[in-house]
Amino acid sequence: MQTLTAKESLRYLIDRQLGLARNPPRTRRLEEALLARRCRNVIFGAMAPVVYGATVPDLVVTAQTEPFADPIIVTDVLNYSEPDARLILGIFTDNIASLMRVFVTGTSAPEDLFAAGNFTPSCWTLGHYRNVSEAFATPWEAPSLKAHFSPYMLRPGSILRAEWELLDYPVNGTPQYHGELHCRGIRVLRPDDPYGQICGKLRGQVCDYIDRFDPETAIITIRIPESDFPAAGQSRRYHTPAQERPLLVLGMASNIGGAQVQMRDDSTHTNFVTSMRPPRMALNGGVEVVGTYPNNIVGIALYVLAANSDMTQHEAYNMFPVPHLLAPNTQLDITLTNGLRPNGNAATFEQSMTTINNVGVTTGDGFISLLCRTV
Amino acid sequence: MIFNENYDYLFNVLAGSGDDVRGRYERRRYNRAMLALRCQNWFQWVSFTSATQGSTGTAVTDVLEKPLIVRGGGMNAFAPLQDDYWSHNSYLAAMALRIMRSGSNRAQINLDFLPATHYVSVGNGQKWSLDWPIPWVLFPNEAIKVDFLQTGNPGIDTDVIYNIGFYGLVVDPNYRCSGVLMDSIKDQIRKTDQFPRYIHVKSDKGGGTLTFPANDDTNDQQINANTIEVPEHMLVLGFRRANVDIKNDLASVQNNTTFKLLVSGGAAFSKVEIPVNAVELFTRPDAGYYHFSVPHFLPRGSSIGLSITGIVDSLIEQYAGEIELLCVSV
Repeated sequence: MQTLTAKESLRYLIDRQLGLARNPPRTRRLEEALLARRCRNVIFGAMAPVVYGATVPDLVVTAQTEPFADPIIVTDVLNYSEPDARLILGIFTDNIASLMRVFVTGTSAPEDLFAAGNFTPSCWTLGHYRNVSEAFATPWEAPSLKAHFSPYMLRPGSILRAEWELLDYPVNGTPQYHGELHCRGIRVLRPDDPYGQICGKLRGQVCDYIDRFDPETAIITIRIPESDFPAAGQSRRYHTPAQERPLLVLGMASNIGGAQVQMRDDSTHTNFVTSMRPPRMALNGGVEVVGTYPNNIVGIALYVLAANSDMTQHEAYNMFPVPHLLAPNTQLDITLTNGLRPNGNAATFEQSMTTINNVGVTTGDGFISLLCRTV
Repeated sequence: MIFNENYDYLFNVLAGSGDDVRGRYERRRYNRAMLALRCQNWFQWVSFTSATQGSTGTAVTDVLEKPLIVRGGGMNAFAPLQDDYWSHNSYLAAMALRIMRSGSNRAQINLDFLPATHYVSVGNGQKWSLDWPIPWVLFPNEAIKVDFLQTGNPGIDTDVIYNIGFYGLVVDPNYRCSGVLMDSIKDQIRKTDQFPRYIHVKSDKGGGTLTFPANDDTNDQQINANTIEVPEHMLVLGFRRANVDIKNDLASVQNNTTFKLLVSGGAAFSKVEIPVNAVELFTRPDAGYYHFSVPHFLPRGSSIGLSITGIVDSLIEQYAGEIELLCVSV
């Protein structure tokens, strides 16, 4: 959805000062709000069996997403595990540890999403900017997302299946390999869905705001002191402060790493995150064994929604596939779970929740910021 | 790829497609020139010197007599040639900011201290990506107040200077609107195609670079520099720097070189000198220079002057500094 861009907004303000009396068109602002109401952001993924133990050359692991009952327009596909790919300024400074393919399966024959015909370095097809700058023994996450070059329609019942080929893994001492596929997309509500409409009181609030006020930038935040982080493996729920203006939530940022996230807008019964199904098996030295996973694999890595702006090279905020309309005096509920990268042979996570920048220096209290504009 | 009106025009001429290609091309060029004529890019800045974790400070921008449209901000961008690129970050303690505008009862962007990266673009190799979704209007005699809260441990360095620049523009319907100028712009558009130019700023003394008198890391030095007088009306799209203010945080002095651009016979880009690392972009392949909010109009026969002040910490800084302007003819 093409929302009012920063450049267009600048031009309206310039024209107004030139005396041309041009304002952002009200009809367009209303249309943007209507479109945001019709669409929902969908964040989902798939988790492959964890690989550990002795090195086995050219091992292949797979993971697949859950099917949806509605069609999903997939806008971003992201590979989580790239333990040895240090992408700095778009240049590899180390070895490629794994290759990847993504297939679409469904009613017809499997379709190679990238039509590469073979495994490819995923950073080239999936657009990593960066994982970590150093210290691979602690696998910190935080690649930026990059919109896939063309949205893809995932039909009802279809799934995405990812395959990773590990090249003589482990190459650099990372204790375990965690293949995860993360996807972002859009679900469009049916025309008769009442939660996809702006009506009643909300219509008055949106139209009244558009009539009386200019659009403005706003950042709504949740501040979480480090002492209030949930304990390892535990979850805690936070919510955004109530605000009086109808907002379009454009994107998110956070300085928190090592957390899973779930996000919900209760006013529209919308869950942003569809949780991944944890694997049951693991690979020990290339041999399939029953995995031992922690219980609390409930969300998806926080940075899939919110860029860790102290880590990423590129964007400070992850912008949502489609803006989310947040009605006045409603809130977003955000549940954080302490722990990422589940161990395959212990009921723990390899990475725990902390605020830390790209070279391991703490950045104080945790913040989740939502970059918004008023309708 | 560069897709703009010049590309469209050249493509359509070669492909033999499109009606009134030349007319549409000329109208777009003229409109852009008119926009540039009536707008002036403008920079405001504040700074804070870090100390220990938990230290705080407040800084306020200058006030202007005109309304200023603030498009975004940035903090501590630094030059790409810095040798210890990554370890540099280790010593930059995390900083939280509270940015508010004074003098009105309008809504603020936020009322809290937020991590700096959530308010402004941070120059740790990061693309200058945080243009606010809707620019801010700062009315005459209003100021931007920035509260600083050092949230991170400073590591080895405890006296890093944090510079924050706000970039935007002022608008004046009557600015540079003489009939003679309009006619000459139309004439140039009618007779020529656009062409790109890199225009270097050269110091009065030196071999074509920004050359400081001495390699002296204890005293500020100030030099003046100029571009050539441009032979055609030009639009300055942005600038980039190399080897200016390239000290790292382990150096005995901190990054705080300031500069000021002004047009001969015309307006400046700021009231006083501003820190180069507050408004400049880390050079990357996909965004190799800092884009002005609007193109800057440089009339035929004019040049852009630069004053630059800083402590020089190496022979590279003394002799090899460059600031170049990326331009296209009107």
